[in-house]
Amino acid sequence: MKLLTHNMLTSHVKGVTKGYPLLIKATEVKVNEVEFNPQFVNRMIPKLEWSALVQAADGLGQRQDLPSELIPDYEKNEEFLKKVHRVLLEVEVIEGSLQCPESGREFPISRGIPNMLLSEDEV
Amino acid sequence: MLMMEAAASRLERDHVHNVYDKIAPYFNDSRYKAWPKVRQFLLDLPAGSVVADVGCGNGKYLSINKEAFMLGCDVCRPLVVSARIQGHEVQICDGLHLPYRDGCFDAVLSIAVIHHLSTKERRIRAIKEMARTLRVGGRIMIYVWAMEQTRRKFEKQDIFVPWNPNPHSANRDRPRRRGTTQSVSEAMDDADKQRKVRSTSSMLDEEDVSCSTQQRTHRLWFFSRSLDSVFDFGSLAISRSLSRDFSTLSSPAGENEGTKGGQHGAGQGLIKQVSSFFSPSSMISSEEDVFDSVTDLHRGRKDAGGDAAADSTAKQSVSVSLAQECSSLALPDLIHHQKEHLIQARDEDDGGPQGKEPPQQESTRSPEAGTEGSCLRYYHVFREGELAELIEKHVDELHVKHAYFDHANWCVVAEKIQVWKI
Repeated sequence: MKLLTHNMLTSHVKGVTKGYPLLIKATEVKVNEVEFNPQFVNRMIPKLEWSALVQAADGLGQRQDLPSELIPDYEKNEEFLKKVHRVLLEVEVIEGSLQCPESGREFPISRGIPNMLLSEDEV
Repeated sequence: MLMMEAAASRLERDHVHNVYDKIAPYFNDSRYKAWPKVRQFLLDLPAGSVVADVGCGNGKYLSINKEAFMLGCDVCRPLVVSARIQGHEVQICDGLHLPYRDGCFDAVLSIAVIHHLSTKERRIRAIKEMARTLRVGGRIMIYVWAMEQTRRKFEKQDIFVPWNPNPHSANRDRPRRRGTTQSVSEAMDDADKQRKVRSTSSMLDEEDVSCSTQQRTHRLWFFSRSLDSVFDFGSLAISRSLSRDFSTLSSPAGENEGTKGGQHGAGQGLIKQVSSFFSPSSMISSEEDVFDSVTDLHRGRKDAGGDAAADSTAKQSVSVSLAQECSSLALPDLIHHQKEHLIQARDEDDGGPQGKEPPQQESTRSPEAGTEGSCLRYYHVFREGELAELIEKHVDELHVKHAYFDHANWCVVAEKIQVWKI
C-alpha cells in the first residue's frame, strides 16, 4: 500500500464519523525506486489531504523534511516535488494494519493489500 | 427488510463470491481482454486522474492508462492478489461499503459487477456508494449483462450461469468444445497472428466449431426467481407452496421463542427455504460465451468485407459455422424440451437436443464443477433502459450522459452532479 493510496482510504465502520485518516501500524515497509514524473506529482497534490499525508509519512519515520503545510509555488520546485514523489509513490507498507481513529478497529495489510472488508455487525 | 438482506447476502456469498474464489486461478489476461470502449474511457481521462475500478478482478483495466493513478478493489481475494502481483494498488472490500473518502475519484469503473447483486435495492446502493466517492464533475462507467442478446433474449432476468474450466489446458486430442475465452483467444492467435481479434469477448475456436456435434459440451443456464419477487408478499407471483412455507416458518418460532431469538430462528429457516427456491426451475442450453460468439457472428459478417480476401473467407466460414451451431441449440423458451434434456443429461442417456449425439458431460463431470450447484454464478441481467432508469430514479447525484449497448452489455456513463437539498 502506497501512501498515495492511504490518502484515499477511510474507515467505514458503521456509526463512525471521524474515520479518516487511518492510523498506519506497519511491521514491514519497503522503499522502492519509482520513476520521477514531476507533472504527475503536480497533478496529485491538489487531490491530497496534505496533513494526512504528512501524518502518515511521519508515523512511518519517512517524513524527512516534508513541510506540515503545502508551500506556495510548489509547481516548479523540483526539490519539493521529489520529496512528495518519494512519500507518495516510493514508500510502501507491505505488512501491518490500518487503524480506525475513532473505533480502534484494525484493518490488516498483507502483501501490500489492505483488507477493508467489514463483518456483518460493523455494517 | 433484514431477512431479504440476509438472503441476498447469502445468495451472493454462495453464487458469486465462493465461485469466483474457486475459479480465480483460471483467470488470466488472454481470457479477459479489456472492452474497447472501457479502454477508451480510461485513455480519454486527463493525465493525473485518480480512478477507482470497483470490482477490478485480476486488474485488467488497471494498466491501461499509465498517466492515471488507478486503485482497484474486489471482494475476491485471489483475484486481488493476482492484480497486486502485477504491481497495482488494490484492496479487498465489498462494493456496498467502499473504504474511500467522499469525492476522491475523478472517475470510477464498474464493469460487469453490479449484475451480481441480487436485489434492486443492493444494486442501487452499490451505485450510490460509487457516486459518493466520485468528485462533482467526475464520471462513472457501468457495464452490466444485457437480457437482450443479439439473437435471443434471456427468458428471465435472474439466472445462474455454470462455470466451465478451460478445456484446452489438457491435451489437444481431447474433443474440443466451445471454449472459454482464454484458450480460444490463444488458439486464434496461434492460428493466425495476422487476423485481428476483433472482439474482446470470447470467440470460437475454429476447430471447435467444425468438430462434430458429438463433441459439443452441453451447457446450461439456470433460471431463478428474483429475490425481489420472492419477498414481495403482496405479489401474486409467490407460489402457494412458498406462502405455505412462510407461514409454517414464521408462526411457531415466533410464538414459542418470541423476541429476537425466535425471529432469528424463523429467519434462518426462511433463508434456507428461500435458497432452495433458487435451485434451477428451468434449464437452458448455451453458456455466456455462446452469447458473445453470437454477437461476434454479427461483427464477423460486417467486418468480413473489410479484410483481405483470404481472411474474409476464413472468417465467413467461421461465421457460417457459428450460425449453424447456434441455431442448433435449443432456444431459451423451450422449457419443457430442456427439462427433458436435463433428465437425459443427468441420466447420461443417448440423444441430446433434437436427437443429436450425446454431448460431452464434461461440465458436470469436471472436478471443478463438483455438484451442479457449486459453480453457478448468479446474475441479474438487465433489460434495455433498466440501468439508466435505476440511476435516473434512484441516484440523484448522478446524471446519465450516455447509455448504449456494447457486446451483450448495457452500458451507462454518468456524471456526478451537485445536489442541492433544501
